[in-house]
Amino acid sequence: MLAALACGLAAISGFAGVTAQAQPALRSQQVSVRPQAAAITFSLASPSPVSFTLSDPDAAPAAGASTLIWLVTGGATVSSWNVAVSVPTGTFSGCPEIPASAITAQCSSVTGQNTGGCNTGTFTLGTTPVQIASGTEAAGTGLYLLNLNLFITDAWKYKGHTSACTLNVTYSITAN
Amino acid sequence: MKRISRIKMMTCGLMVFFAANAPAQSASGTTTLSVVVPAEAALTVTTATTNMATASTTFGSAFTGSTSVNLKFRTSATTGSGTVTVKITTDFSPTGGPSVATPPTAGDALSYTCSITSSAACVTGSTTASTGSATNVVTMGAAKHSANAGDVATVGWSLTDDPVYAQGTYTATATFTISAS
Repeated sequence: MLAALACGLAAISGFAGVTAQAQPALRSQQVSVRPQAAAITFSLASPSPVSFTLSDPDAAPAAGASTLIWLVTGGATVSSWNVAVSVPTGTFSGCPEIPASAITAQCSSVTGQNTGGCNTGTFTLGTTPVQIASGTEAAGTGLYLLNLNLFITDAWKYKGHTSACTLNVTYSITAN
Repeated sequence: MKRISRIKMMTCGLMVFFAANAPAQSASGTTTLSVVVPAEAALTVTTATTNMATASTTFGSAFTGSTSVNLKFRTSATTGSGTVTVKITTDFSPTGGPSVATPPTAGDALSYTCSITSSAACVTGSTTASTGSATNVVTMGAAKHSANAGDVATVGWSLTDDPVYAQGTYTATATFTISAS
């Protein structure tokens, strides 16, 4: 809609004055509302692996933390971004009795964006991506940093294991 | 002038087209969650005081009572095991009555049986309790686990009713211990 509005202004400018020198401000506005082709040029999740230590199934869920960093170029404040998390498989490798739903994720902070931030709540991981943060982009180049808390709920029904069980978590970042 | 305007409008049309079709950029990555699930065990004695009584007034039957113990456990998948043991950590007092360590009459004994609905197994038959060493009540094999709320083991006690016991009330302490690997 903003682009269409800009078009209207541009058309009027064509009538009012042909040269760029005559309407420099108007030309500048036309460029600023042109939809940007945002690109995510870098992303990193750290640490990997996120390690949990279980000690008592009757205690509070064990906590871990992950930080996600990504770089958006060509961002526009009218464009949106979001981050979703999911798992490719429903159980831990090596511990098939532990479902991915034993893991919950909670976004604790986001920096770098124009508006928005963490989606409120704690989200249970599953094979269907669940959005944990969203908002509008910073103009131009923006380095985003998202802190995520991860929790695993222990249970007596899980077998004991002498080696670590693992589960991959996929982060999906979208910049429109 | 009209021609210039027409060109401008065409350009604007392209701009709208781009706005509607600006592709969303996406990136994805993964991190690995790693967890070690250790063998663990816990128990709660839910019968704080086990009252033992005899239905006979002629020494025809033993003093009996039962203790409920909530067991939570998981053992390692391949080589794990576990036990629940009991030991009489405080013998009957005051003196003049029954005794686990020094029965007043040969053959007097405090013994127990066990029952449980679980992947764990009670020791079979009757076991004589001891003040000197812990004795098994329940055993668990590899890759066993309790329910999340725990499994309930019921220990049935039996104490010889010996006429030499002085009339009175006597107390002892039985301590249960659970372990899993």
